[in-house]
Amino acid sequence: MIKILAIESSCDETAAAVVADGYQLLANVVATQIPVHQLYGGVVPEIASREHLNAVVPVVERALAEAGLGLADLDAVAVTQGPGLIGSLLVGVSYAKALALAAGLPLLAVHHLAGHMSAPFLEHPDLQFPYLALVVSGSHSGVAVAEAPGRYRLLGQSRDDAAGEAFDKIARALGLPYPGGPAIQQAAAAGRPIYDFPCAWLADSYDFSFSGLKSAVLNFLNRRQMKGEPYRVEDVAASAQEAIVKVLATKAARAAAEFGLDTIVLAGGVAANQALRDKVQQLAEGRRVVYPSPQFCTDNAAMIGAAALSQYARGDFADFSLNAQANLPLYFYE
Amino acid sequence: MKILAVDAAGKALSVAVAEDGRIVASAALNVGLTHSQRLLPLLQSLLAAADLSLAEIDMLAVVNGPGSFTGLRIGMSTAKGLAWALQKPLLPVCTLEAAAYNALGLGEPNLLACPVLDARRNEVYTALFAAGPGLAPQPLWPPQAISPAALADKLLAAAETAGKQVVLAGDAAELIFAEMQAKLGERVLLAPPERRCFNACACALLAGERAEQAKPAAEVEAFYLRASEAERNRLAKLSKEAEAGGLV
Repeated sequence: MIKILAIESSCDETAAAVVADGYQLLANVVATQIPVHQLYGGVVPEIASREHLNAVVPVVERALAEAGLGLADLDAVAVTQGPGLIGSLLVGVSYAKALALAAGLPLLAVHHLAGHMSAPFLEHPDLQFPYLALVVSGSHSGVAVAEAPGRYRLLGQSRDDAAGEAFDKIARALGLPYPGGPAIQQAAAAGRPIYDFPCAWLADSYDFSFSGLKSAVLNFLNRRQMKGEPYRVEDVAASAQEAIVKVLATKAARAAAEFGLDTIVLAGGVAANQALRDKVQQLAEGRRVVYPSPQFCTDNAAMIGAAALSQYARGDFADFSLNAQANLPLYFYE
Repeated sequence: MKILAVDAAGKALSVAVAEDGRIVASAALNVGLTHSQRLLPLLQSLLAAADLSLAEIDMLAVVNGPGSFTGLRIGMSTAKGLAWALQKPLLPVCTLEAAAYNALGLGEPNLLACPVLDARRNEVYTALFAAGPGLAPQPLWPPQAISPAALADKLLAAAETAGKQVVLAGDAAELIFAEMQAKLGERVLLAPPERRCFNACACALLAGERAEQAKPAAEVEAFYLRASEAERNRLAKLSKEAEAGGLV
């Protein structure tokens, strides 16, 4: 049985997991920094890097302890190479490289989004390639065809703000806490989508744009406040969520139809949004819709381990000159 | 006892192995900031050339700052990973102390060492040291971030009071030497280039002197000396608000 230690530190979660053959999860540890960054209303890269450096040893230690394994029992060490915050990535990459060198283990450099797109395998090991993947998080929004392990073809992505970023910015304008996605979902549950905010459809493209929506919400709030007209935060949250979710779900469903794919996979932190799940299900025309549990939607190392398993099988190893890459391209053909 | 030391906190990169007060092997690069790509290959080639294996290492040491935030984290993450995987203790050494050691290696009684590291924002990280009775230099000032102009004034006063010359070390020494010279004249000297930027040997030797202070990898922290910009801004804002609140 192949056992891989995976480390993820691309943004504000320090995470380590041990994943074995068949997407069996032996340990999964996440140390979140959200409370630290809440003081600043968003992730502060330098603070995130400092937190990673303090957390990386205990987090990896706990993952191996939970798995009941030592380094000598492992077959490889995997780490998120990018994309992400460079200072954050470097802590995980440097630490993983040192472990691999000292323990004489092969090193696997994993793409963060390949991780997100592999997360569903942890709970649905029967999932088959090819599938349509909608990857939506605080820093990415993309539609891709997952053709085979390690082969992802990007159909479109956000031209400006990522979906999660739009949630964060709108939440801040509404006086809701960071991260914005869960806060807006919670507020929206008590509201109705009565305001018609614009959706950027960008016809004939699978690209997204959310900056117009963000501006529309900000203008709406300014106008109301200046005129002294009341509004309910819950209704604005519900309306903004509806506008974001509608575009994401529609494009994912359309892509699945165009490319003849019978499975749609939702991945990334925004995939934890219930409205998005419902909308995709509604538009999927009977296609299978797979999404991970919330703990595997937000950043975690289990998904990096899942992606690493197929890389290990292909012999796709990195050497010790591996560097972190903030803008690692979203997809790669061999 | 074999000690493996790593320094990636500045512009240069160095690794060294010391054994009982003797440098057994060392390697250094000063080719720009690509520490992440070069550190482990450099270490691997050093160990191979010296016919050493990581399993023989008894203790790790690391230059833990101040310095480039990113650079020192690359060195720290790597040293922590090696120490944790090898189940060996790790000892942090301050960049300023290692740099001062490099300049005071001969224990000259008439010299003070002033290591200076680029802190950007028109400041340097610095401190002042005298030669110690032992290997370790004796700190006269605490580590601080100050402007070169303020440093020149402080150095002049310190040199005159002590009746000694000051030798500038550290990777920003050349950058501010002319400015210090304008103020201190012949009282200031510039350490030779090979003593200004490679700190792994000093780190390994200093660590050997205080091996009992080594800790488990998880407990070793970086010494940034300066809070992140976001933290500084937040604290400034909070103290401003507190002041305004106090007036009301």
